Amino acid sequence: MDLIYIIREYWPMFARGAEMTLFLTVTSALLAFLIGSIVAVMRIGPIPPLRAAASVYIEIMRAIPLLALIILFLVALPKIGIFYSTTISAILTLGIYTGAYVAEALRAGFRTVPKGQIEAARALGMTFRGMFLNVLLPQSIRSVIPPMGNLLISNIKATALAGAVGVQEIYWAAARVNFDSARSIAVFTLAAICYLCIALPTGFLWRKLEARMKIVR
Amino acid sequence: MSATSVQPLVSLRHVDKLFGDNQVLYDINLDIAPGEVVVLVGPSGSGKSTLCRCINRLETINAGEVHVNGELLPLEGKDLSRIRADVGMVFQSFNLFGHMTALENITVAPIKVRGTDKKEAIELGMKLLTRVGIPEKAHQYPAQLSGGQQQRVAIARALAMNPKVMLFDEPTSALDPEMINEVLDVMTSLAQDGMTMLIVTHEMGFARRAANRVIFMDEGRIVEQAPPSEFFSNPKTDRAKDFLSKILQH
Repeated sequence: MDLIYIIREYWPMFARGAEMTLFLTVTSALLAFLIGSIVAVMRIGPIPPLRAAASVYIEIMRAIPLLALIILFLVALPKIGIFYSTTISAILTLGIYTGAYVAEALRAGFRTVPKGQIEAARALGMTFRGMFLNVLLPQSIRSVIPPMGNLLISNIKATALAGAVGVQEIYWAAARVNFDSARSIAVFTLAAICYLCIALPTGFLWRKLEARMKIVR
Repeated sequence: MSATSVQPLVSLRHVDKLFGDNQVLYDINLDIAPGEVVVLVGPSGSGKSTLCRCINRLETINAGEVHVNGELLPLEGKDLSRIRADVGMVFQSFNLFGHMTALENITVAPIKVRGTDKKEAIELGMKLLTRVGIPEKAHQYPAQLSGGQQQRVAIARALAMNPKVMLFDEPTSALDPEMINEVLDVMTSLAQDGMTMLIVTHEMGFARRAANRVIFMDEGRIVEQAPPSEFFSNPKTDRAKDFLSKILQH
């Protein structure tokens, strides 16, 4: 069978690819969460220019295909004198791209808290910061966990696009092996299995987290 | 009685408010003296709630000035928060924080805004819960309380900041009839203790009993104001007469 042959001959490449995919996923997800949180707070905050900037950022990021963005970052940044490795450039792009979606997910979560509670907090003399930390955030965390799980899994799959610009992750490894072995179906079946092995446990763990957060009042 | 000797706690001068093109307050002038209990009445849509919410700038105004305790309300920021901390507010829909127990609802602002010691805040919180008659509900969440109980917690929450003035925006309008009195009783006792209060309400019995002054609003204007005995028995304007005849029929 082709699949067994491919696994036997090429598994180190796929293993290294999976390692890189995991690395891209974790780093870009952390970056996306950081960016998304900041943008979401800007978006609902009391300072109009920051609100506008956050909206513009979100709209632009959602309107550009990720592949175009990854290539653009890679070729455009050196032109303005910023040099990164291909890997770092891909992580930055993924983080900035997914960050926009994280910001929107958080904002949707904030909206689940009744407006009256926000007014009550302000009426008690809480600043925006105090209201946010004591009233808004604790009550929206639970409702943003499911969409965050979606984004995390999307992000795993999105890392494949980094392979297109030469980052040596699973998709890149598959393309190389395919070139070498000319057994496309087996090669890309194995690539798909590799992604499943990362995405399925992630989804499972996330649901555990979700269930756990439900019990906490 | 627009006292000139005592500085009013709340003072509105020529306040206009628009929602888009729709003007809801016209040239509002109002002084509330320390210790005074003012009840705002009028048909729905007359601007009572909006006026109430302008006093702590939950609604921004389009013209005029609002002073609280002699200080002009700032537009935004820390100074506004500082003044709001001195103005207690009770809402129609209670607006308790859903993830906090009754006691936590009461202690959060003293601890986070005033920097009160946690133990002290809890002591004060329990005292206030006793005052509003439900100390046994301290560790219940809002969803576990009846409307009347939630509103009493909300009053305790506002009182915990030791406010100079309390605003009540239709505090009993969302309550089942059998719970209205438990809330009005708390408000009456507050009034008797000398708390300065502005109350938007449809409870005319309460207005008669507890108010020093009744203000009648219609279509965004203050139409008439008088002590309750005078207002209810001898309204001067046709609009007030009309309003009272509709309201007091049953």
